[in-house]
Amino acid sequence: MSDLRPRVLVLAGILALAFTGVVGRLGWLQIVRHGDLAALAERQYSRTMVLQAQRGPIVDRSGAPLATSSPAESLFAQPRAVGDPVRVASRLAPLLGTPEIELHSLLTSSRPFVWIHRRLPPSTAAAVKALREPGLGFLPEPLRLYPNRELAAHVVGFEGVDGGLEGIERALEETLRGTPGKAVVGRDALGREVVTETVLQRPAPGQGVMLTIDRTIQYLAEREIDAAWRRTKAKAAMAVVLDPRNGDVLAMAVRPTFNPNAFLDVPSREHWRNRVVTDPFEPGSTFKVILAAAALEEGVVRPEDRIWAENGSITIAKITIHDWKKYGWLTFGEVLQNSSNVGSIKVGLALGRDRYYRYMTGFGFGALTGVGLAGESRGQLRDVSRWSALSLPTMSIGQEVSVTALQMVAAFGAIANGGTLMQPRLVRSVFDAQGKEIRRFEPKPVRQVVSPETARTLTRLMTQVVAAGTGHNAAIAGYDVAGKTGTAQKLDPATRRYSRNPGVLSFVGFAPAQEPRLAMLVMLDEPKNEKWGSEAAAPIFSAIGGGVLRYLDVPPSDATPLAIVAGPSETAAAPRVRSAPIEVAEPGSDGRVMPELRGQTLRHALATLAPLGVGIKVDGRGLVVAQAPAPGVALPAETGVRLTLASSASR
Amino acid sequence: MNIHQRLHQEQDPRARRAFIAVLLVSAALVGGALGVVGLRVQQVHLAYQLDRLRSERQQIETSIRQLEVEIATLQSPARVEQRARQLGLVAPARQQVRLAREYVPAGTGLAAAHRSRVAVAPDGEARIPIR
Repeated sequence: MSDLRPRVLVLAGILALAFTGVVGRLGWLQIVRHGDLAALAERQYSRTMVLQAQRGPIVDRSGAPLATSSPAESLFAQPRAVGDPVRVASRLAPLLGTPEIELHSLLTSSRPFVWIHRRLPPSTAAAVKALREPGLGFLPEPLRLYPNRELAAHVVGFEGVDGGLEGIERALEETLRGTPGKAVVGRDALGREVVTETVLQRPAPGQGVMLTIDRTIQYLAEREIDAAWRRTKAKAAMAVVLDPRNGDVLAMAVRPTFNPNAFLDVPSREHWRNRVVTDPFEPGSTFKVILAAAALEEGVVRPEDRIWAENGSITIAKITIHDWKKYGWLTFGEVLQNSSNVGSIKVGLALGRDRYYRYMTGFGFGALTGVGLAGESRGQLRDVSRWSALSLPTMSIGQEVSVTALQMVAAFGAIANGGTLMQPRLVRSVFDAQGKEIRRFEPKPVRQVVSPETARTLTRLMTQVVAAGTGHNAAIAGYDVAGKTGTAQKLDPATRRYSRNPGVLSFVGFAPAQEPRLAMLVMLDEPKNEKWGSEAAAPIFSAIGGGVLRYLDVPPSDATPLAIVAGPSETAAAPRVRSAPIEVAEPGSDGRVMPELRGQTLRHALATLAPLGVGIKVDGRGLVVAQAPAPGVALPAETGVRLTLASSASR
Repeated sequence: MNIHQRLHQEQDPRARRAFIAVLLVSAALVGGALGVVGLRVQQVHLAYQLDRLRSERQQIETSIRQLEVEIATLQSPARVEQRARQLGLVAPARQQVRLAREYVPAGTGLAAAHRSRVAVAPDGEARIPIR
């Protein structure tokens, strides 16, 4: 027994020592080197990934999506877990459309994690999942889509890998992008994929942006601008439609354009540029309206004042400026109506440089509009101290000053809006993921540039430009249009003289003149086979304006409204459908005869009565069941027609 | 003690109570353990169910978004116009559009309501309906 005790003690000592060693080693690994080893393990078996947040949508003023995000999945590989890279590459290549060799090099990478294909279409993702290849995995990544393709592409812009690159996508990047989340990608001890269980932080979706753009008006503008751009082979073409009452930009159409879904498929990056805000141009004759506003407001000239137009030319500082036609005496209204350069220069000289400059800046020229798009130009408006002797006369006819299309249409919008310049507004509101409005941008008046009286006088003069002057091609049947044509030569950089080739042809105006609902600029840059703004740009204004006014339900000024009495009809007569064609009763020698209308639809009855030119009152809905006067009765001159309608349901 | 007498051991009430207590505690422990295991199984089962429902919801949300994109694409004005033209529809000519003002007859005989079918009528143009 006494021999045994030291042996036990030695053994216990050895065991204690060994245990202390194990505990010590454990402590070393678990405590001292914990950080390094944990990081090493994570590098080997897992990786923390950034989960992209769903980008907020961009919608038009009625909520129609212009840019939206759709969930897509991105395929990744963990090369160490891929069984046979050659076989996997050969199975993936036909599904992804990627060369096999390229896939093989990715699958044999020394990195623990590689992206194989980002943002796969759902069908392709499903096909890849069906392969059930170990080492492959998916992570959700939103795909940005532009369902209207080229529509409003320059306004909306597009999103690249690092966020918005152009347009609103770029300007409101912070608002749209949301907050990214985090996920750990890896495999467990049994080799199963663990992706969904290891989302550390869910991404917060971005906020949505509602624009002032109206998708239909934008389409009308783009359709006409596109046709004109192709027809005239112009370098560029654009149209901007503004609501003058609040400065809302309703449409901004630019050609050449691009498809934001495939924004790299362009011959040049020039196609991405929103020329409405980035490209200043010399406006030419449209700028005479600004001169006229200043001159009328300052009382320098009245509409009926007569001006001697020097038979078509005037020489100032050894430079002779011509009119396109030889004019003698013209009233100021006629100067504008005929776009006389000589008349305008004389008014400009009478106004003086300081006062003219004050009004030009008042209308917003030489300054940013504040619309909020990146790359906006101020245009060029030199300070009065840097003007030459020729500056005032040339600026009076819209040369030696450059403006952007947006500045120009905003200035005309001010005249349409009783002299108050409104800041062009492109973003109406910002809303959260549930669609609740969280920020609203109200219309912002900038300043009263001219008095309402001056604005009214100028509107009357501009209406004459369209009714009986150079802008007659801009007329819209049924509506009064106020506007001004512009034909400006461009400065040739080689000769430093104005080129004889067509430069900038434009028309700027608003309609209806008395109660404007739209202000619009149409501009063609260097069209190949057009010479005058009145011939090239004015008809585009008419085509877009007519469509927009009808779309906005603006009643034509010359239409006699039909009175419809709503509510249940008192008549007990049963409607009887009459399908036979209705013959229009020919007016007799003593006047007009009331035709038989019973059984007709309202549309049919109105078409029958239209040639008789009688006032019509309608009572009820459905088919005509009673009429006054009775069929065959002669219609006295002052008598209107009353139709009583009823539907089967109302009996 | 004769042969008919049997040895009878008197039970110790304390030992019996202790035995019952041990039995009850053991039963409670086993029951508890089984309960925990059962709950754990149920938890795993529910976790699977939750996961399946989450995945289902995600798929439905994905479908909704894809359908929304499809709707937006189908409603794009360019496509709508193209389809309308294919169907032989054209924009109405000017004389085909009639301006109509609608009146609701009221007891006073004045237009009680005033809305337009084709266009918004400016104020002050309401007429007394014929009745």
